[in-house]
Amino acid sequence: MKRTLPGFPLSFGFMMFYMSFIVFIPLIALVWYTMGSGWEAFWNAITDPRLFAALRLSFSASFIAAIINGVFGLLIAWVLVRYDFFGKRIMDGMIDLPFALPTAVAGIALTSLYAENGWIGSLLAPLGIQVAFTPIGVTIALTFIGLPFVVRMVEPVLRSLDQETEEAAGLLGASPFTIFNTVLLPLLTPAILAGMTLAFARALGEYGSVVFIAGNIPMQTEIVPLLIMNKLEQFDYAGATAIATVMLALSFLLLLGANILQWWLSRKLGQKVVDSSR
Amino acid sequence: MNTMSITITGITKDFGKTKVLKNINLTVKEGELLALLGPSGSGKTTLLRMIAGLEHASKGDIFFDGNNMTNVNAKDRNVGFVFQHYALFSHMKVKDNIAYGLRVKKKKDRPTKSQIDSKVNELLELVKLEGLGERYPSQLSGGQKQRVALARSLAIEPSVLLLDEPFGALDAQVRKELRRWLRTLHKQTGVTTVFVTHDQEEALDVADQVIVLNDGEIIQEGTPSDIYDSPNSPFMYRFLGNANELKGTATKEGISIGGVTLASGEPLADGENVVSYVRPHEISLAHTSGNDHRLEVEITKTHPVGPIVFIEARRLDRAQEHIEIELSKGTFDNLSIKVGDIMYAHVERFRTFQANEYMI
Repeated sequence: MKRTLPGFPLSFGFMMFYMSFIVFIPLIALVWYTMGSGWEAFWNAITDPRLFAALRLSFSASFIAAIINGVFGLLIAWVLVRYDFFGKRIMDGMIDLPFALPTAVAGIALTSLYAENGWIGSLLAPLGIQVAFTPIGVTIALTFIGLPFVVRMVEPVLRSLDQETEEAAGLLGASPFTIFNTVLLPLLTPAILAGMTLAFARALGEYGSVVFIAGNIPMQTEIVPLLIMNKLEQFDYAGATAIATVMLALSFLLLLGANILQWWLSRKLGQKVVDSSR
Repeated sequence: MNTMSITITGITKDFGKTKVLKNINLTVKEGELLALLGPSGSGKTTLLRMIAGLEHASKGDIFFDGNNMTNVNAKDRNVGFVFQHYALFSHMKVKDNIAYGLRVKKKKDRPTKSQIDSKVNELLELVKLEGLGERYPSQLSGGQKQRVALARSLAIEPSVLLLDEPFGALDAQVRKELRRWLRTLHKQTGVTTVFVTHDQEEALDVADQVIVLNDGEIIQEGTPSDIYDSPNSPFMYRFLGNANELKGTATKEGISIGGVTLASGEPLADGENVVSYVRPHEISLAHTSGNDHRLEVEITKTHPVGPIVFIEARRLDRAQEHIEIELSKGTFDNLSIKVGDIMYAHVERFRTFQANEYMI
């Protein structure tokens, strides 16, 4: 078959070469080391109750952070695209700060804010809410570092939407709320989900900003990357790679699931929204 | 279908310092098909969007059947609106696009599912898209998309139908077809319709009434034949298609143009600079000067297109100025006109305006 777009063999070859060096080979090496240390060591490492607790915290906090970023990222993107206000450019630039900031800096800043004697922490303490050194603190740190993903995914899509489509819906008698639900949301959902998936993935692997605010209490506020660091500090490479392998497998499954959901929803959701308004 | 008349009184719109519309007054009778015609930037789309409630006037009022709609929300005006670029809901099937206006109605006004389905089928039939209800907009051609948009706007049984350059994005062939089809559809539905266009041929072909706008003002209004046969200003002549401009001076006998005097019934002061407009098909040619006043011209180009021959001729009294003449193929052959011939042009019909009016 003759291809209309030239350059496939070369560019495909380059992609495979690059992906191998950057992604596949390191991952294979990881699994290889894990297997090298024997089945029993692996089993011991992954059946540690501390790991279960850490996995539960890592995945749930990352998931909640992704949801929060989905909602507020959409809102921020909406404001930045649809309204004009003083300082809009500066605001737009600030969105990316969580990317640029060394994560430890963010961690220290958040900890000092939310600690019992910090600005926000001291306001929450009388209400009996403790943020620093609890799972809430972990979630806040993960929300902070995941913010740019949804905003940056949704912004261009929102900007490219034709406002006449919304006008058309309005002229057909739809209220602003109905227009948002039936016209905007279905078109934005794939971008929102893609942003949330990225934020989730980033949060799973996050270390720097979390370790300060988490307090790292075993069985309570330890995240998986921290356990790995602990093992490495004790020169327990086999244990570290075992945890990493479990993390890798779970992350891969979840990301694959998210991508399938995204693909499915982008086809189905528009139809569903219409049906539900019947 | 209870269709309504539209009355617009004293509509003015300014964006900052620029006045987009200046004191517009007009009436669209119930069941009429009216064209808002004008060059780009004339304010015609703004006016249409105001009728729909998508823009708000700085001053003036809009009435549907005597009810003041000026401060009524777009969603409550019950107007059908068709956009130039369709504005279809790309994530919904054709049938869901058409049903949208019915499904978003409040529960107590909303038809049942089976009523909606039969309405959708009825509309698909009306716009001749039977069997395409399950498609997505991206699977349709431009002309089909625009018909879906029209069906969607008709689903809510609008009081008035507004179309913004509805055929502007389509190619010439489809455009002609849809134009004719719109006329038929208007006859069938009888809904008061206003459509905006910059294409004078389209406006004259489709509409019952034409309103010509320029620079936010109504220049002329009337039936298509009023507009074509008696343009009221130099702008109209230039806008409605090629007319020859002949500059001259008013005298007691008539209009003096380069040594020839054309009898004119128009009251113009002696010695005034004037400009006369002549359509290319209102000029005849002869090989001899005859006894009436004729312009002496040299034929520079002949260009037959089907039954009509377009001729360009250079005026011998003013060497730089060319005039355009259209003759039927028969007349052209009888006269056996060749490039380079010196001939005499007789102006059969013309209209004269003061030159300062032209200068504006």
